Amino acid sequence: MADDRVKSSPGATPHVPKELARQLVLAVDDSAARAPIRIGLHVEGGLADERYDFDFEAWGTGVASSALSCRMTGRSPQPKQGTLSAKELTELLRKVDVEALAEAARRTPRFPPDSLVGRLEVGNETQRVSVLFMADPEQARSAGYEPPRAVRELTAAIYDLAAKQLHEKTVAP
Amino acid sequence: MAWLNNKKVSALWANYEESNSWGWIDGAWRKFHDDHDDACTNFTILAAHAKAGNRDVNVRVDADRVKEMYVW
Repeated sequence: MADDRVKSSPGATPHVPKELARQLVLAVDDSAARAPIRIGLHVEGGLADERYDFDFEAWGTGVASSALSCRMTGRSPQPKQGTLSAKELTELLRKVDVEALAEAARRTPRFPPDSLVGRLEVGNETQRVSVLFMADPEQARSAGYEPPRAVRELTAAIYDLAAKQLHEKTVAP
Repeated sequence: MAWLNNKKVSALWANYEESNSWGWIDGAWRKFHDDHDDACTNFTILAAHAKAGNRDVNVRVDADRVKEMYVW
């Protein structure tokens, strides 16, 4: 007879953005609460000869990596990985509005061909919020899908950090 | 033994096994006590009510099992 102490357990995790939001609030002041947090931005798209690719990842430990390739402007610095200062990380965490991002995630734009598509992600060990948005402000305006303020502000903060890390004046599209 | 107070039940899970029912409470899956089938069923009913009504719960977790629950 099987041991009834050995039973299956749930394999999936429910989507509960409020839990992530609570952890972000704690993480601003508590370095221990930061460790599992991950913030990422990936942007890609455009016509072949104007191709733009950008990647940024920051972890609650302070480790951050950036990579950029932009054919239109000829920017292609060496990808970098380094450590954010405590102040930079705190400022980045302050920019994250999980509930607004979760709301934005429910409204994915209808991307026209050759759009620059951005994917902004904030998560921890169990929760993740992922927002798809039009990353070129001009394209977004003309298509009528301008990203909400929470996406714009976090994206701008990430571009600033990445520009500093990659020694570029700007890394934005 | 620990009380988790004023929490939400965000999800529920069960399968075909005897007294195998779990709730996602305060960022983790918590297994409802399974030594007594009635207790497991009762916890599941309470948790389902709490989830459906978006009510707060207080749960006592002991040895990785939910052993007591209030639904407010």
